[in-house]
Amino acid sequence: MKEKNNKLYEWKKRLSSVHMYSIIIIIFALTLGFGIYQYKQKLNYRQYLQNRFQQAFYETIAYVDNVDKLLAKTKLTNSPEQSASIFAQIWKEASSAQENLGELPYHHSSVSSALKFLSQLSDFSFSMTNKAIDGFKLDEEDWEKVSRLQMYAQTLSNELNNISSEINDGNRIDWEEIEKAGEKLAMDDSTKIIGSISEVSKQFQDMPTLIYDGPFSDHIERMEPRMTRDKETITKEEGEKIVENFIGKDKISSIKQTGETDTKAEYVIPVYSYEVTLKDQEDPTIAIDVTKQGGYVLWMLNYTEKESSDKKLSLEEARKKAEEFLEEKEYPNMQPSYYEKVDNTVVINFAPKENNVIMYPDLIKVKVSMDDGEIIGFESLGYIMMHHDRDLPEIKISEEEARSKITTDFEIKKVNMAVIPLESKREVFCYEFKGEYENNPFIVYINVESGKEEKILQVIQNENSVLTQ
Amino acid sequence: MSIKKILMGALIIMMVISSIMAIFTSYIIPENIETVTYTWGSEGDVVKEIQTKLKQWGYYEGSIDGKYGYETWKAVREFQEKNGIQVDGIAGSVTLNKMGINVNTSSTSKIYSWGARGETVREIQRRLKNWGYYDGYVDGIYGYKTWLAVRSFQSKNGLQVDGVVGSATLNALGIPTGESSTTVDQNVYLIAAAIHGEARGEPYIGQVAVGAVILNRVRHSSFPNSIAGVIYQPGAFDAVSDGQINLTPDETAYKAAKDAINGWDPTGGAIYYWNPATATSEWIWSRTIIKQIGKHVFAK
Repeated sequence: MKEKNNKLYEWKKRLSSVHMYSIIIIIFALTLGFGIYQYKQKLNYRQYLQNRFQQAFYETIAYVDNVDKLLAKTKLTNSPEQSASIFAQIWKEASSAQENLGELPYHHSSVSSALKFLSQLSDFSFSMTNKAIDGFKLDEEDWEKVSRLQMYAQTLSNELNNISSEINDGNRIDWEEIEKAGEKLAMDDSTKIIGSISEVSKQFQDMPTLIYDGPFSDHIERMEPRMTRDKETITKEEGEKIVENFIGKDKISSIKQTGETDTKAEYVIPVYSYEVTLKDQEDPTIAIDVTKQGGYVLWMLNYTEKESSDKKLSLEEARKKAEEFLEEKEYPNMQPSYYEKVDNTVVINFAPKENNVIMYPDLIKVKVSMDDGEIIGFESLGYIMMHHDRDLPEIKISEEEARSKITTDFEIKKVNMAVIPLESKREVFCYEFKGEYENNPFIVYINVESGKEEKILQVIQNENSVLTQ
Repeated sequence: MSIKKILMGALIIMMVISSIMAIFTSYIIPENIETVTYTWGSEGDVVKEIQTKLKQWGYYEGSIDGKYGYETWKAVREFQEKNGIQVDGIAGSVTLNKMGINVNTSSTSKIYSWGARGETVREIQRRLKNWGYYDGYVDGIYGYKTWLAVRSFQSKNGLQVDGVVGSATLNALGIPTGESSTTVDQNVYLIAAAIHGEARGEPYIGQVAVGAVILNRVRHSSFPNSIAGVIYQPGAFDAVSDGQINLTPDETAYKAAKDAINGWDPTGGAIYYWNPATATSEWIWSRTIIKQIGKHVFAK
């Protein structure tokens, strides 16, 4: 005890000595120096970020300006060639504007409608380019859309230029502030910050729907599933029965409903969601969704961890298992197309064949375990959205004529008839020519009505997959 | 007395400054470094490489047999001492770097044994636990219980019973060894990293759902039109803002990413999701909710 007190006293004495002072002052100076260094670095990073954003901002303005000017020019073209060239430029400029605007730290709520406008403008211009290349003149309806788009492009261009002139007047955009303000810029009108584009975004919110032949057209969002339309609504108990049949009653230990689609949700397929616990498992390892209308299984995933076995199925065996499964679940005449091996599983894509025509839009995917051939995944969104009795157009081009449309170096190995979906989900009836060009496999689709080359796919083939691109 | 006051003042100022600095430097990105260490009992080509180098430089006198024994241990310690590395006789990443051995690019297989840490060890434990070999914590640290479990797994599967997880054992466990997964598509990696950062603790379907939302955004006109564009859009994902995207994705995240890319969409076409318990956004609630999976609400 006494010793301890002595030590404490000694320590106190040492602290009060002048020597100790200098040490503390040195430590203090070092920390201060370190702090200043850190602070300066932070400023550097901040400046770097500001510069990046500023660049993206100025580029957005430049691209939007170009789009605005180009749209005005389209009206003066009178040949398809000229329109094709101008729309191709708009396609590129609008896409670059969208990219740059998307990099700025605006909250999604204040920038999403402007982004949508630019995507659609770019996509629409691409479809107009294609139309013009096919030799068509733009019709009344197209011009009406062009005028409307031009009006909005002008609004956006003006608004951005207003911000730019504010900068010229000596104001600066503080991107950090914009990021921090976040959704307040869109939600709360009293918040005003230089560089905010919430005002202009609001005007885009009531932009009328734009329908055209492209993937960003508004009709894609609003498509109705063909299989479930007008079908009777099932109860969740009936849904449970469907799950039971799909997976096999004898394998199941319990089924639990985990949720269902909110009744307010529009343009989604209403489903009941279930979770299945298998007999040899403690926890649920299968998730499955059943459509409320018609009671179709929309998708199923079995994520049980399997102890891998030595005997692996061949692809051929796995395909057979998948085909048997589809047959059993009453999806007859399904044709396998491409597949991909992932770890110890393979995902095989199937499409129905009706009267010798393959219906590629009606896609079903089956996932098979290569360990024991069990079906561990099923996905039928394509089938449920698209499958119906189609009235196929009359064939106007013979197979011979279609062949003559393809470059002669393409060595044709197999011909099929097929309905294929374009990016806009529009379906076209085609001859499918499978073959090789310079030893690389390709698939070429020729429209049976017009003889137009609708699509060229390259087949990517390796030991693990056959994919198309 | 006044000296004491000055001292106290100085101390307080220093404490304040250091806490300010702590705030300044607090944006340290969590990084999950896979640590592969070589020590007693390690075997393989990397050990051979270590021995060769040490022999060249005159630290090692034994034979180059690829077995990490006493001689190798001594030589590594000597090497560490000369090079100012912590002298522990374990060839970890620092030591290997100093030797100029690049573990990632060398074609040799990774080996996990006593003392190894990281995501792969976690994965090994998870699988062994699922199959009833392991009853310890899934903590990513290769300890005694893991060693026992690995041994019993090896003996059941006709592998050499050494308690060391090499490529043969990894294969039997169904964990891809670096060798077999030749090319991981960059898109799969990006989505797996986003899933891992955003939804690590979520049920499997919830992880697939997060991947599906990213892909739905790519196809949606109000978002950037590429996977990288969507993931790195400023403010879009918390895991990107706070750097958790840089964590190495685990096997489950990869699996979920692949299912999402192959077209499984548990969300029914959602482009937003949030955790209702922690979401502070007012705007997000104006979206139409589709359904809830795990902790996340998915919406259009």
